[in-house]
Amino acid sequence: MSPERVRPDHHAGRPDDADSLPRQLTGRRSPLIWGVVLLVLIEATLLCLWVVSYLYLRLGLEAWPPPGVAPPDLLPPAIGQILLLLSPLPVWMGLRAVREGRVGHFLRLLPLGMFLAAAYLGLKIREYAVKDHHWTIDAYGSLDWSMSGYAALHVIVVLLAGTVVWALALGGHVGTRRYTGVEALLIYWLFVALGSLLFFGVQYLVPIL
Amino acid sequence: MNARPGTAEIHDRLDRVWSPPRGIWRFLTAVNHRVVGLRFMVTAFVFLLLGGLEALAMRLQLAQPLLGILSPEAFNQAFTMHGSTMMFLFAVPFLEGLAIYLVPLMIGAREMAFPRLNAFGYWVYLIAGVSLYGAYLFGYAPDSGWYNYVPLTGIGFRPGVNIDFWVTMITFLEVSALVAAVEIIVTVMKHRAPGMSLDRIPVFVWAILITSFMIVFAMPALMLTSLMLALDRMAGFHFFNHAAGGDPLLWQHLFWFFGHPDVYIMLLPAVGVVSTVIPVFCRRPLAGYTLVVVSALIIGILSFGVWVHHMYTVGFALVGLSFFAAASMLITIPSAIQIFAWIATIWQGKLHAIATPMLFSLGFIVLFILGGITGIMIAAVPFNWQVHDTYFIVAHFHYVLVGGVVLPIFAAIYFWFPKVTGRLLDEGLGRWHFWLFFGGFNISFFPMHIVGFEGMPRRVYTYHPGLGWDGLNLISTGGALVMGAAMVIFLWNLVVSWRVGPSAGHDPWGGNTLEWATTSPPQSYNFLLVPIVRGKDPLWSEPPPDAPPFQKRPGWLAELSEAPDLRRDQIITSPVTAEPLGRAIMPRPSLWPLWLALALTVSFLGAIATLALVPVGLALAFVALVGWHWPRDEPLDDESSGIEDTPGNPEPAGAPFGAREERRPDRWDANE
Repeated sequence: MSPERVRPDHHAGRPDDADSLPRQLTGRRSPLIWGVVLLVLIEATLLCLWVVSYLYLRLGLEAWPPPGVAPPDLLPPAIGQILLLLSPLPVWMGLRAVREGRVGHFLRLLPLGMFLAAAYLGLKIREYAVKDHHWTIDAYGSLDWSMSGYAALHVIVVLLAGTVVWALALGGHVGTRRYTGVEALLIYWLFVALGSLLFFGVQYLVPIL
Repeated sequence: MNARPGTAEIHDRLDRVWSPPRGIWRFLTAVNHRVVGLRFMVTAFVFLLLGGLEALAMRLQLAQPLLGILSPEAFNQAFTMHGSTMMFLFAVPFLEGLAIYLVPLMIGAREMAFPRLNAFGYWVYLIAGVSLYGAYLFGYAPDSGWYNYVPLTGIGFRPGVNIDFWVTMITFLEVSALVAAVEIIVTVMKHRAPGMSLDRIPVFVWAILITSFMIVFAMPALMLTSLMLALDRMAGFHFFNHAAGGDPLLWQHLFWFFGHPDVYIMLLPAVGVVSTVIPVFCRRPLAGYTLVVVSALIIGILSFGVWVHHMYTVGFALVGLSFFAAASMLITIPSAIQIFAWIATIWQGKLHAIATPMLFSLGFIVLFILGGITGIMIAAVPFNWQVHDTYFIVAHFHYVLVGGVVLPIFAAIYFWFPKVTGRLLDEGLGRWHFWLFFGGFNISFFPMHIVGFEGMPRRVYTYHPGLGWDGLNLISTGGALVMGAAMVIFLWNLVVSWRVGPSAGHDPWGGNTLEWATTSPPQSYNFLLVPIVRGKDPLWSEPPPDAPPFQKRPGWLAELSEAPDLRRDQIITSPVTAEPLGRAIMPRPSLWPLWLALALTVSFLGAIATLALVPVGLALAFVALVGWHWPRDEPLDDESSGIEDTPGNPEPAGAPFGAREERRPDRWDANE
């Protein structure tokens, strides 16, 4: 067996200068971001399987929604959906501000994103408070309520996570070289916004097609 | 520049940073990958013994026609718990534990990427397993099979809490598998030793990496379908109620979309074990390294396209069945490539004496081929229709799972026991273990092929005499007893060798992977120096292959001095070429993982009593997550918050929750 040689493209830096390696890595260099992306991948798989289950049950029936059930009203949920899709934008702008050293700017922008997400949640609660076709009636109701509940739960998670990150920033734990928490929040927030859009398409458009 | 510190001085400094706390706090707060990995393996081994006892009880019941050792209800609980135990509580957790223990050592790292997540995964696993067995003890065990088919498991046919325990605890358990998968992927992709580019990753690590990605995509299907069934049963939903527009077949689709990849989730790490053991005992690198890795990848991908072969009899169109039959048969090609690679390695190697790990690996190859052949048979639709739900299927999947998974697990235990304990298992007892287990297995399960051909259905608690099944069933029971005797010998060997076995030295087998470069058992920090990898087989990259440990061979290692300023530093490298990018500060022991697991237990177990406990548990979990993530270190010197009116950093909390790490003046820096 002949010894293999180190390729010159490996560890191009000095091998004995680990002390000079940075301790604050961000973006794709950070293990935390990899972890969050994998979490999103897991949740996205579950979300896709939920959509497939919806379509599977829908294809098994001739009428959808079932006879006697009115198709969902599109306007209020569409407004809510637009608000949720806009909500990561202030967080993204806040992240840029943090990178430029303006954490105070971030502290003002994050609540705006949270307000937009909370507005989506409020519209969702208002929509379901008056619904009389409950989950206990049939599979259509079960899918409708469970998917909305799942989406709403994720928005609650985003709001809670946003509150924690805001408190961290206020406590001086977010800075020009320490913002992976903000990046992680933004990635998850984007997933929640886009995932709910997928659910919106299935829940509100499939019944009227 | 000061002179470099000596080995003893580096050891003292690193040990001070990485040593776990003592006493009860060590038990409750441990996050170290070796501690957690070992806990996974020991717990899974206990579940293996329990699952084996259930199997023995069933075989005794079936030894003769019309026996009354187990009632029909007890038999249903026994086969459900046996299947659930072996699939969910033994095989996958054991292999996860093995991976958690070995992967950092094999890639030259000091810790997993997310140590607290690691500990959380173990507590979840332990709680879920103990809860299931607690239910069994009080007569509330699930009793509708490990696949838990609806509508049998719907609230209409199975009122009571038996199925609720399965639904909630299996879902909970999958959280454990998913967090293990995430941390393994990130560890492998971000914390490999400098120089360990993708084409130099050990085959075992490759297998675990592919398996982890499979878990990421497969487990959500089981979680979703279990959640749906829980909602059906506990909250009046109708996902599977045909009368209300639901569909029972949705359960089967989702379950087997998880279930078939799950077979390979167990099999691929076993393939990794065998691909590690065989080259070491044959004293040559694995033949066809790239082909073996690519084959594992192809198997992983194909395994997501074959789930319908578990559902051939539900009435799908033949065109669709043909597709799934073809996909199922296609898996034989990459599997065969791996088998030929092992044979080629043995053929071209220098196999002097067959030690026990090698014996189990050879036994694996034989049984895996037999199980694979019957797998091709049942992938064919007409044959499958004939033997569906007969003992032929039982024989097939036991050849695959016992031959393909349990034997490699035994090989792994014999192979890495010296690394974990510093002691060797007894070779003589090991040979008795192998031959009794291998022989007993074939005596027990080969007749099941025949009795299946003769029409004996599976999952029956007894049968009438005169059907031609009596003698074969008696032989099967005899084989099971022989396997039980083998396990007694194995247990004895483990206990005695752990206490008084002969010292193994640091590298008893002359291994080729990095875990053999450190002490046995490893120090708290794994590696004194961060290794730099220069080949696929780092310890064999320079002859002779059976050279002593790394301290005597400085050629393959270069010092990568760390700055142990009493924070737990770990190198971060690039995902493809493994170039050093930075350092991560690893967390210290913490009670938050246990708190989080207990909080979620309130939600999951509480749901069986009342759904009102679900939000209570989630609120407790939120508290745990905030405490978990709230930083308690002082910001590093190179940080700037950028906020003018920052009220200062909060006072660090004390142990055991906190990860308080003080900056001490005795910082060692090679450049100072």
